[in-house]
Amino acid sequence: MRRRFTILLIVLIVLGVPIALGLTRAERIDNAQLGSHSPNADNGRTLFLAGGCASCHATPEQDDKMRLGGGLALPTQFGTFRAPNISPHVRDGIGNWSEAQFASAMLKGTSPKDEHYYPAFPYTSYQRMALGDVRDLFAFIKTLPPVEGRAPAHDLPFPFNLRAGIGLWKVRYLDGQPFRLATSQSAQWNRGAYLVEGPGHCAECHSPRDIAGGIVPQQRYAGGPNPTGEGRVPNITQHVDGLGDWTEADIETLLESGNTPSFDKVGGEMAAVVRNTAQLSPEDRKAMAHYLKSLPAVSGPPRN
Amino acid sequence: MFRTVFAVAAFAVVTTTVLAQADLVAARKAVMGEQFGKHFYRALPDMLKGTTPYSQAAVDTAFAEFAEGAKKLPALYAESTRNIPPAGRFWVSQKIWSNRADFDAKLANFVKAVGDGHARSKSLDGLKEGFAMVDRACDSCHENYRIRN
Repeated sequence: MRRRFTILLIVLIVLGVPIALGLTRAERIDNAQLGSHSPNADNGRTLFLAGGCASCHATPEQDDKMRLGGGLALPTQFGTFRAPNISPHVRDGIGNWSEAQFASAMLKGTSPKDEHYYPAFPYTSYQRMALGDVRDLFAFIKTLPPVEGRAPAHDLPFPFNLRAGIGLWKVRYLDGQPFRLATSQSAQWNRGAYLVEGPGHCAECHSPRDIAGGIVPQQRYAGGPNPTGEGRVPNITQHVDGLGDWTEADIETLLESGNTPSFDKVGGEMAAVVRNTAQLSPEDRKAMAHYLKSLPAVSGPPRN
Repeated sequence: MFRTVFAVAAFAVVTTTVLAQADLVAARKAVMGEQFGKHFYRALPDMLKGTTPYSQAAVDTAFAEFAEGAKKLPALYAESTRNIPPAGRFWVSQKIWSNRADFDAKLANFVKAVGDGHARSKSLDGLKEGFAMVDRACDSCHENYRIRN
């Protein structure tokens, strides 16, 4: 009886693992799915700034944020990730990628080799971006200088070094949904919602995460431990511990200069964010502030 | 008798340590809030925004306070302050001490930025540049060495 059970268990594992991995194979976007599109690199630049690409992908220890040679280390509880070179270098960057491959990366978290990307790359937010915007972003990146040199590989302990397992993670945490216009809301609110939920990927830092590293949806935007550094990331919902006492103009001021209503200035990783949002149009900052001001009050995880 | 002396001595050490820690936090706030913040977030921006008229006297006062406060900073972040438990919304990152050379360089750079910024700030237009120089110098520490609790 025990022998039969053991054999059954082995068969389940031997069959089950490949089936599970097969079912969770990386999805991609094919060329055939791309319609005609005239790329707009100006729009691409807006998305590049809103998306904060340079904050992770610019070569560290130098000031030119358009040199996207990668290499920045992101220490997390799963190990250390290193942002890759996404400059248009044809060998070491993404210079020989197709639009479809770039879209697959941004919207599906899939590499040109059909492997899953680790969600340290926040495609869980970028998946909300419109295909046209993603193509414009690609066009903008192609105008930037090619940077030689591949970044070092991630440094992840077992079992996190098994990329295939991300397929299972994606079943739970990647919904594959595009951004949905809220018809009851204004154009400004919708623009702000799109920028914040999509390229802005604000929730990726400003939300607590569970043990698998996925955002806790009930506490989205309610702050929590800093996923990539020391200390905590603030609650940005309308809770009194968050932005409840801030006006829309206060939020807009923060996105423009980093200055807060309590006569201080944001630091840490947020300083890099503000360097990007400062370059957006005032209308886009207003829209983001308008959306953020509308977030219902949510209480974040307790401080330990 | 010996036990009493020991107990009193221990109490004195603990009390003075706690008081010293509280003093340190208050001293840091005095420099950052009073000497720096009051000018940097109110007086100077009000002039830059045009809310208040440009006053060279007020600008000179502000930069004098920046320079004086800057001199106090190395002691406020000395090695002996490293293990004081966090107190308040913002606190120091341990990287101050693991990257001490970089931190010291940034403090020195702040002193220089204050000097250069003051020299630049002889008119409203000059103040825009001078203010930005100090702003960037503040950021270089806050971005890397201050964490939020």
